[in-house]
Amino acid sequence: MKQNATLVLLAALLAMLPSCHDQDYYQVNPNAPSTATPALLLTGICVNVFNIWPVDPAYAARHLTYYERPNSNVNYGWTTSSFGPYATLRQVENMNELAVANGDKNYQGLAKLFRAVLFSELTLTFGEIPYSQAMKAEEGIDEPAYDTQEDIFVGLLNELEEANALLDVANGSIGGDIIYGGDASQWKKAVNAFRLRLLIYLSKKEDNSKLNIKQQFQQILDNPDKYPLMEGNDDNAQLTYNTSATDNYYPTFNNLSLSSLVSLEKGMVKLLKDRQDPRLFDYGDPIQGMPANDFNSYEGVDAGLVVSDQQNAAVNASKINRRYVNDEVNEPMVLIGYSEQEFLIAEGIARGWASGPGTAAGHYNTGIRASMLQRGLGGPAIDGYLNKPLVKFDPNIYLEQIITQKYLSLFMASGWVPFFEQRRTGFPSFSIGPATLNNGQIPKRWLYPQDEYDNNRGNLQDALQRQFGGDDDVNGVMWILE
Amino acid sequence: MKRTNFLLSFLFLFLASNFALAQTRTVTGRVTTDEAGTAALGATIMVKNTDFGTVTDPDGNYTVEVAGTAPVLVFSFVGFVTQEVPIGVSNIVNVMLVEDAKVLGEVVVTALGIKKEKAKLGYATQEVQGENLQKATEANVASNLAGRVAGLTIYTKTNLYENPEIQLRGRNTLVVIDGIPTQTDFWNISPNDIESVSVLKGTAAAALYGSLGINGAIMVTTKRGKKGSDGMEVSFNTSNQWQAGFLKIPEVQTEYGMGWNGQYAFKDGKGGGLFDDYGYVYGPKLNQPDPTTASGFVELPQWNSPRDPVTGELVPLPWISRSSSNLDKFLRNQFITTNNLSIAGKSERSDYRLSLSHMYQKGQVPNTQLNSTTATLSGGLKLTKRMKAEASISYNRQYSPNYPSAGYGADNYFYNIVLWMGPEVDINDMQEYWQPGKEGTQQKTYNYTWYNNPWYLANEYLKSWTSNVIVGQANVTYDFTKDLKFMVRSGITTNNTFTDRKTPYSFIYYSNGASPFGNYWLRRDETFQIISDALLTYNKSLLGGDLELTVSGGASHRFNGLGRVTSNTVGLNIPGHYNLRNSIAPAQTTNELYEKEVKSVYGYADLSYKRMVYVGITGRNDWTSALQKPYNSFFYPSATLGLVFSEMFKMPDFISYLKLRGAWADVSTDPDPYNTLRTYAIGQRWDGDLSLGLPGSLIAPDIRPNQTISQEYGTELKLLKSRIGLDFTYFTYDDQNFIVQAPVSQATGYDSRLVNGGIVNRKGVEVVLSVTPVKTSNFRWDISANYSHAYSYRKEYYGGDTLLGGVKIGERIDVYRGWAWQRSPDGKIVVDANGHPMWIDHPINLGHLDPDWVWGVNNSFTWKNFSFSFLFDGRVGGVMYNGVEAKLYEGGTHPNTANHYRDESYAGEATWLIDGVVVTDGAAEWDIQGNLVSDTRQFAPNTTKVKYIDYLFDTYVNGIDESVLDDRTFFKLREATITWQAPSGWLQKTPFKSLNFSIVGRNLMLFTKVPFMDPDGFTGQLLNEPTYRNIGVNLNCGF
Repeated sequence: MKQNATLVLLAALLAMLPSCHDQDYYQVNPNAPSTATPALLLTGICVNVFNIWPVDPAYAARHLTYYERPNSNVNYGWTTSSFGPYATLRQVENMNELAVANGDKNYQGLAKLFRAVLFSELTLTFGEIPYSQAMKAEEGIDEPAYDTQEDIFVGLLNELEEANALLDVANGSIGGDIIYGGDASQWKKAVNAFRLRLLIYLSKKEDNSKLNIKQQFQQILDNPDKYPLMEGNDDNAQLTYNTSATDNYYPTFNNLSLSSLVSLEKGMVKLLKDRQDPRLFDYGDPIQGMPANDFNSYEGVDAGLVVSDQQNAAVNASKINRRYVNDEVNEPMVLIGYSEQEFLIAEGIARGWASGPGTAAGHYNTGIRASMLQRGLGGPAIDGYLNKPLVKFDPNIYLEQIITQKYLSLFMASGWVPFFEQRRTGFPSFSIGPATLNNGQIPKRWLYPQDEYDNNRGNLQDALQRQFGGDDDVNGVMWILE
Repeated sequence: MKRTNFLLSFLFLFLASNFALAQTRTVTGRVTTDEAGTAALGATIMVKNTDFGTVTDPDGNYTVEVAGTAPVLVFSFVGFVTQEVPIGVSNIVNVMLVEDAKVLGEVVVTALGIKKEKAKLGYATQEVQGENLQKATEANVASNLAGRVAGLTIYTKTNLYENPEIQLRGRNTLVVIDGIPTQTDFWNISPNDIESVSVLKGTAAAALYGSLGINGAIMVTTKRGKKGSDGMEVSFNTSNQWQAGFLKIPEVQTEYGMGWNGQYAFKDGKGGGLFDDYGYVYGPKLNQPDPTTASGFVELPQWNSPRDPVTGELVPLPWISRSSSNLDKFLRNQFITTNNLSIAGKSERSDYRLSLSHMYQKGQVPNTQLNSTTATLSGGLKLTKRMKAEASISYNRQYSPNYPSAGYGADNYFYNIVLWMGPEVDINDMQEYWQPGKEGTQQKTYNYTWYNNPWYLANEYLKSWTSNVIVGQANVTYDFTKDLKFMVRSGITTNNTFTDRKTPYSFIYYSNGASPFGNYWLRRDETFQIISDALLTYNKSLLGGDLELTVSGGASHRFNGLGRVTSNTVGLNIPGHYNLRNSIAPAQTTNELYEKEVKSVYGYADLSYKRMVYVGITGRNDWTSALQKPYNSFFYPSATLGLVFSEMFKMPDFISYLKLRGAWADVSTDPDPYNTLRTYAIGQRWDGDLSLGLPGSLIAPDIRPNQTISQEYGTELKLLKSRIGLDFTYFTYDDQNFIVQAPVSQATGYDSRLVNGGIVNRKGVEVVLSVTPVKTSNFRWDISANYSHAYSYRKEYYGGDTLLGGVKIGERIDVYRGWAWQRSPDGKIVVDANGHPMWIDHPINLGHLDPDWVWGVNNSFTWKNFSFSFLFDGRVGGVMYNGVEAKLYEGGTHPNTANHYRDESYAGEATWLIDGVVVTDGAAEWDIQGNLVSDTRQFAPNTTKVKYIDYLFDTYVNGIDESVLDDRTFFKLREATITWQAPSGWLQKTPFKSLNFSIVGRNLMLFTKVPFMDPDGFTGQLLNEPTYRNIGVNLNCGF
């Protein structure tokens, strides 16, 4: 009997044996690392920032139109947008922390550049946003206050100044850099080009004493050694696609809607045809059954029409060039490029913010030339184009010309820049029509995300009160546009 | 009845005579509980003053060996008076037991597999006998539980090999096989191996399982060897069902073909022709005469036009309707067969059961099927007088060489046939799915931009699934004394699953899902669970048996592991060679490992006084590896009380039994492994370079387990000699301090904080009513009805918020939030100046997802050797988005879209008038929650007509949820069976000991207002197989 009881107890002990690990063993997740390096974070940040979906801004900016079903970017019926860029800012903050810890100044400089890129995108979308108190969850700030757009731009321009100072080839090559292959000097150029963009965005505030826009602009142009700028398309801040994995393909590759239910927008086609602009052949396909590279073979669809009428019109219109759906690599996605930089300088000089080097006309022509080269068009074609009546630089209509050329150069590039620039300058005019919602107006901003109403209501209401009399309205005019 | 008894007696005599032994004799008989001859299942028969004994089988029969002179048999059965019967010369002793003090002693299996008299329980349970699950079988036995248990809601699916959703009181629940928690989706359990299913509905009931039992448990008891009349029993069961039509199948219009705005010409299906890449069925009207063509009809180039050898152009074909039912033509009749052979036996010292089952289901979709083979061996051995061992092992293999996809997309046959294919296409013309000369590399289809050929999908796009599941367990019990018992038990579950997907060349899908060069994807999962328990139990009877006490203490250990490897190619070099090494770019592989270990000690005490008062308490402490010290250790108690008033007080005669019960439990659950550890997320690889990212959840350092405090109260009432029984339960649960992602402003850099917080209250009611309206000696009618509802309410948010995601404190959390039309106060849709309907700028709450209530009613009739039963069940209320209907409108295949308005729309005429209003003055404002906050609008009737197709797009293509939001109410005639049991007299001349034959029907009728979709298992845009009706036969024989 006793023996049996012993056996049973022994069996019980055996059954308990599989407790083979101590508690600490389970506190390590085998599926994800608990440490990182700035380089590993930088790669992810670059993918987030550069690999954008270029189609929605192309609808809003009337480069393209879409008629599979009503779309808020086509019919201007949009409401809220998202605070998504803050998620990328989280990676930027973390990269910066790691870089500070190991004293790597290049990554710190890049962190400042990306902060400027992402915070400016947010504020241009909504108006006021949390900036000075943002990104501080770990310090316990769960409801950050909103900053005025003026304070945000002062801060961002200052951060770009610091970024320029931190980035230096002497600090070594930058690991994880999928944009410039680790070359800090090229990043430095991108920082300064981007700073010119923000300064030009602030053109309605040129006399603001906190910002000192003109002085900053002149200072950059005057000191190429301290503030190097891009010198050609090779300096473009852009992401090149590859075929190593399907998520490395150009984002619209094999997009079925883009392939069958999207056409070039009528307004853009008209601008290109009026100028006999050969970039049209690069952007679109000829109407079905018509010869390529003949301006008569291209037409656009009016985005202001209701969907069914757009569909009817699409039979005799140009779809987007097949390479956008058939070519995995297609073209790089540009964040900011040499041609935009040249248009920015041209505008600055034309506005009298700077006296050179170079002339407005010169930079304008360089901008066009860079865009043509980017689209694979050679020298002779460009020279002829530059002398066309609508193209040839005319100081009396410099703004319309510069912005129109920037608009035509940024097809499927640089995200919302063409839309924001139209919002700032009114060029070119965008089609509205019977299908346009929002009482036939082009919205000037997006509503704050629902989450902010849920999680940061008090600060949001203060911001709305300061800006739009308390109303969150897509037609509200934000400070930078006043 | 008398005749039957006589026959039975004769049978027993016949059988018993075969086995009469010299020294001992075999006594057989039948134990019944009433005059109708209801069998006493599980009654104990002991030979007085010996250790020999047995229990009755489901038919109430027993066989026992007796020795010596003047033996006496002691018959005992919970709830009945124990009888002692001296054995005379006869070897047949039939006994009718008498109810003991009006108590009906139903025995149920409770936590840890402990059988308890139902009267003793302080919580709700309900039992389903295995025989109810094995006649009209479904591929997954859980589907057979639908409608049978109050509070257990089964969302049954029609797609081959798709898991039914199982919810107990609105949550996923634990499945326990023979007392041991098991990870199962029920696919590995053969209905033929199930003795009974006992549903422990509440937290208190399953508290002994600790965190696993937080949402109750489904306790499956498998069959064991029973003492047959000759020590061995062979049983064979076969169930076969054939499809007999559909309960629900979507319909399409047959008057208009593919294209847009009445125009179409196929050239390359990629935009080369006229609207041949659009993918809509808004093309020219079909069957229009044209005297100039050879056919006499309008002719157009189409997807299958031959090419003119001279011009190289496609030859136009008659533009006529070729099929009204392409889906029906494509699908085959489903067939399911379940077969089982078992051998079981029992002797004084041992019992065994060996069972072999096979299930085969032929899918509706061509080239799909499912097989499931299960072999089970279980046995028990009395090692010594004090020690007993039991073990079982079950091996199951499920294998489907190809099963269909249910999602919305071009990999789904339904998508390619119903939503977007025009009726000018006859699907049978598509059977040759490769383009001539391009076999294996280029499919032939009707639109090369959007849609795959359904036959190509069925035969070339193959998704396979193989699971090998082993469930094994063993236990040893040792009786130190009559009162002190020790048990040790261990159970393992392993599941090795291999699944892969072969994508052929030229596969069409959205964006990166497309595979012009094919692909191969595979995944291997290995799950492992081992649970071991040791339990010491002490029973004591005090006060002359008035007070009974059971105290038990034990320890438990559980380990769970999941290892997973997933690989895929990036294109295939050689078409049709599905191997990772055939990848064009380097193949990609990921692996994952999840492990968790939980150690526990637990105990319980049950106390009963007479048959009046029952008190139970449990306590358990867990140490989990998934939380950090000191929060990894947590204790949870439960207490139950049962008061049998009918024992305490004199009741009127019509009340046979009245009990009130209550239960309280405080149970904690731990999170999934690694959930509270801060790690980086592996990001996208760029040109081969790895990236990392920091997840958006900031994890609090002091995460504690989820806590559920449950209360449940119920009553059991039996009236008129138990002819009417009512079991009522009310429960209320507070899910509090759950580990939640508490949202924070994204501007903080994080989306949320992982914290403990908030309270959700779940409450509901379950009612089980059983009535026996007629009970005579050879006819009996039983009704069993279930009712239940369960709603969840938000009581508190973490951080004191009052409103999140559209749900205020005090409101139900299962809101359907979506887009809705602007309406006037009298409910008319507001249209704009152009005649188009306008929607509110923010999503609003449009209804609740959970049903208002769930019910099931089973009727069963027994007349002589025939029995007939049918089960209705259904759900009432709840809303669902009918994505199929919206898509039928969008595609132009909806039957309602074939009308003259469409022709007028094609002609550019605006002829459709929305019955709405226009705003003539004033304005309305909605807040961000979609509530109307101010309204100064003045209205006038809408007079602006719009083009019909514009109206359809405005209404159904804009994603306005309200336009296709359906009431999800339905009910089904779920099952009907007629069974004939061969009278024993007939069987004497046959080798059979028992024989019964059934005609069965499953899913016979569906009643619902929801168009096109079966609301039972599907919502949204899921493209399910049409629901079919099954009719078949079941044969069960014992040898």
